[in-house]
Amino acid sequence: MKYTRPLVLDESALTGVEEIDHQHQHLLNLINHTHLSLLKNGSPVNTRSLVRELLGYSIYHFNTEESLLKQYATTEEEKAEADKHISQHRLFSQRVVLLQEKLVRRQFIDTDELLSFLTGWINDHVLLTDKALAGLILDRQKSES
Amino acid sequence: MPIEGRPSPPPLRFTLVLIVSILIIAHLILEKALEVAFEQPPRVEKHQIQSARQLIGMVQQALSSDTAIAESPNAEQIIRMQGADSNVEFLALLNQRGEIVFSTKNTDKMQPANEVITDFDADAYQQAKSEQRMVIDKSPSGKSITLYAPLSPSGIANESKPGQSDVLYLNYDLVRAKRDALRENLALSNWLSQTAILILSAVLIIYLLNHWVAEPLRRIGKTVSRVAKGDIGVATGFQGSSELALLGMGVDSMSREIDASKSALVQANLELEKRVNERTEHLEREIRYRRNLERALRIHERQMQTVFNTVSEGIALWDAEGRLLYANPGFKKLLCMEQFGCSVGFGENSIKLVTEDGDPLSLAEFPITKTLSDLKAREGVIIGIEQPDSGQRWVTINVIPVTEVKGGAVTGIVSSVSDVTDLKYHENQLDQMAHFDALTGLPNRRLLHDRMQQLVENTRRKGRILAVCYLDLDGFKHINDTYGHKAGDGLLVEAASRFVNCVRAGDTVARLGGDEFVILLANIEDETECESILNRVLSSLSNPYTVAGNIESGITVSAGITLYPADNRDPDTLLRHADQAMYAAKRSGKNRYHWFDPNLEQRLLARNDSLNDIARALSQREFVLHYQPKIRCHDGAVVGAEALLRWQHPVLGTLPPAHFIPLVEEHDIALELGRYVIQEALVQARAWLQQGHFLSVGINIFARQLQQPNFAEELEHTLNQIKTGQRFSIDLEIVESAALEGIRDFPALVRRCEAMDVTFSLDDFGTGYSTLDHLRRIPAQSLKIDRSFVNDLLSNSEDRILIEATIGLGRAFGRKVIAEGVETEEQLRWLRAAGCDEMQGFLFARPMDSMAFLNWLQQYRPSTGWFDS
Ligand SMILES: [Fe+2]
Ligand SMILES: [Fe+2]
Repeated sequence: MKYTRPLVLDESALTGVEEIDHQHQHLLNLINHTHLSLLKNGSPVNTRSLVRELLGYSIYHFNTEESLLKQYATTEEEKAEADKHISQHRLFSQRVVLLQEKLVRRQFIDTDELLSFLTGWINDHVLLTDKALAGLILDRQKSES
Repeated sequence: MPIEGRPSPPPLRFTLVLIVSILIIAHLILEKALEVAFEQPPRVEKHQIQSARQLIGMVQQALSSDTAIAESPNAEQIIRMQGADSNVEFLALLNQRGEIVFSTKNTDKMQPANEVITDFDADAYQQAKSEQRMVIDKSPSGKSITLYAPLSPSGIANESKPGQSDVLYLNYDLVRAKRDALRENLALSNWLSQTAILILSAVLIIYLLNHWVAEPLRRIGKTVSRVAKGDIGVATGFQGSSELALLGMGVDSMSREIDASKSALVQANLELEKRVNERTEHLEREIRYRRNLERALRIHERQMQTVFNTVSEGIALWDAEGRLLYANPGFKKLLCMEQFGCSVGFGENSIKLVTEDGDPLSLAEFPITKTLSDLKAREGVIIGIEQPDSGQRWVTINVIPVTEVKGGAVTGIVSSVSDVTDLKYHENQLDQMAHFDALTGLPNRRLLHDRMQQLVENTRRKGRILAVCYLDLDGFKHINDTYGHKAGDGLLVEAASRFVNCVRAGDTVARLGGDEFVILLANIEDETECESILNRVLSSLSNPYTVAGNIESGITVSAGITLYPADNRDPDTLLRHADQAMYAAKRSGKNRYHWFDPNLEQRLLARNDSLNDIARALSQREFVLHYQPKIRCHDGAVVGAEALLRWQHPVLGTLPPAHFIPLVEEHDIALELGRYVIQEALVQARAWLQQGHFLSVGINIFARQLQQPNFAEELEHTLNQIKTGQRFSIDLEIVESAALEGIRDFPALVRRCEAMDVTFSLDDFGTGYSTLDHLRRIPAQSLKIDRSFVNDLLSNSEDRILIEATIGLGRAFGRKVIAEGVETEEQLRWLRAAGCDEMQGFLFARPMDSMAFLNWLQQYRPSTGWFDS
């Protein structure tokens, strides 16, 4: 079994919006656990429940973020950015749904490919897209107060 | 003050006249006195006559020895010689005839005397010749006498020859003689009297000059000099019109003037002096006061100086610009200023400053330095000063800006420093006591907390894992109760040492109290490493103990672990989580460890939120059903539709169930959602029926819905509400058939539902648990072939085999086979050829909302090319 270091939300990945950072931490934990469970070839039930958890939680998280996007993205430019952001969310949840279906159907899962997608996605998305969102939120909140 | 009664000097001309007069008078007196002496000086005349007689006698005597007088040269000489006498006016030898034989004057030789001599007294001549005696004849003026003396060859003879003799004639000048006499006889007295007169007159003149001229002048001089010297009221007192009086009076008036101005001056001076005195007195008083004050200040300063010099506290004063004004020895010593010169004075290389917590402190952060720049008070700042030779000292520093008035500008800064090293040492000791457990010597809760804080920080920075293990002894209470606290303490000490022996160097074992311990494993690689250490701990702790001489083997330990940063929380929360996990371990049978699930909380949070969201969505009717038609394979007729749940999410858009069902699957709201779906689907089916479309509606249900004991009753109830008298059929599609095994009497349920025209289909056939045995035991009416098999059936022979097998099974067991995800004509043809009963897929239609579905339905004609044979 190859152990890869767990993903850690370091300082640079903090967006500054506490709620989002908390959710990211949890999302990361879930990815780490899914990762571990797939690597360990753990019980399918356990893995499936983990993936279900991951899916459910990412939906929950995307809900949080997209609500904020709707609230704060006002200009056309911002709305276009928000659409891009949302489509990234959809891509992620589709991949997780697919994983879920594969698990249900006991189909082959390319673990390495999946994991590189998940970790790559969360890194890119959190560091770039979510930080941009957080920047927008903090900016608006500041100007409101 | 003018002196009265001074005799005024007479005028000078008077004096001069007087002096001249005196001189004249003196002269006159002298002259008179001489005259008196010549004119009637009987004594002097007698004496002169005597002199004349003597002269005659002497001549008589000289001539008498000479017999022949007339021829004798001798006689002539003698007579002539007598003429030298100035008194002798005329001496002549007269012969018996009265002729001048010889005389003092040569010319008269042999001349008759009466012719030559004017006052010749022939009588007297005769008398003398005759009487042979000397006749003296005095001139009436008294100025001369004439002597007639007979001359005989000898005196005796003369007597013998009377009348026959020569006669000597002598005219004797009396005045000259008198004068001479006076000169000769009275010379001394005459000089004395003259001298006396002269002296007298001189004295008189001197006196007069002195009294009338010199004295007043002196007086004036004196007065002037006294005035000059500044004497007051000096005056000559002179009156009158004489020059000296005028001078005196001038001097007097000048003196008065001077006096007057002087007295004015004096008055002014006095006034001034008075004022000066007053002022001086005032000044003196003030000076005295000042001196006293200064003295008091000096004393005070000395006292303060002494205090400052002797106290061990350091005191320093600075001006507002930060210049050091004063620092007492204590200050210099405490801040090591001696070694490093003035200023705040640390050689930063030799002196190390640390904060109370031991962090390095730069000179710029030193409280005094800071206050010098920002003028803010700092009190009780504790600083450590480390010197290479004298070690570390702790000082507490107060820095207070001083203002002259409250709230005014800062005029200076007072800083005090005191050595609190001893205090700090004691504090450290107390700290030690406060940080370590007295019984086991292990760190206590407080120190543990600090360590955790550091480790969490380190771990986060290094990207490592920190395991926090909470341990609790099992069966310890029994030991305490049986053997007492002392024995219990002994066991705790033993357990503590076993803990320490099991962990790696650098790991922390702490005692929280009672039989609770915490182990911190820093820098672990993964959970496995943590587990191996904990297994060691568990096995070591479960070895028997010797308690009060007895072997006790029932002691074990239960542990709960949480891992940072997966559990990305603060130390207190980490401990609480490990504690929770430890309780789980206790509950599951002790002598084991349990992992804390960091996702639990967040999951609950997410779930809670999602549940609320779904509840809201239900009430807002955000859930809608979309329908996908089912096509009968042999003729292409629409025989039914699968109802697919969609969430018209206000934020996320339209969500398929796979995206939200997992959130709520385990919760009761899933059942409610299920009921809602059934309700909606039935209502739709009835609507279609009323519009003339008899369609079986397929409804996806969760295994949990079926697991509800009253599922059938509920369904029946719903159907009764909806039913219009016409029959319509429902197909319940079960996604996770594995879950059906948990249902107690599923066949009974199926039979009961069949009576209500409700059938079942297995949605995931060919995957997972849907084995042959499974198929045999579950009496579902239909089998659905997953779209993943249909997708690949043309390329993947395995998929084709699986589909063919499923169709074969369906035939064998009398089950309908339905293929999902049909997208191409080829797939359709193949499935028809294989004997599939029904199909659904994009080839015919996507899932549509009810309105769209109805439209589609009304326009649908089976494609002739597909279903012709
Ligand atoms: Fe995002
Ligand atoms: Fe995000």
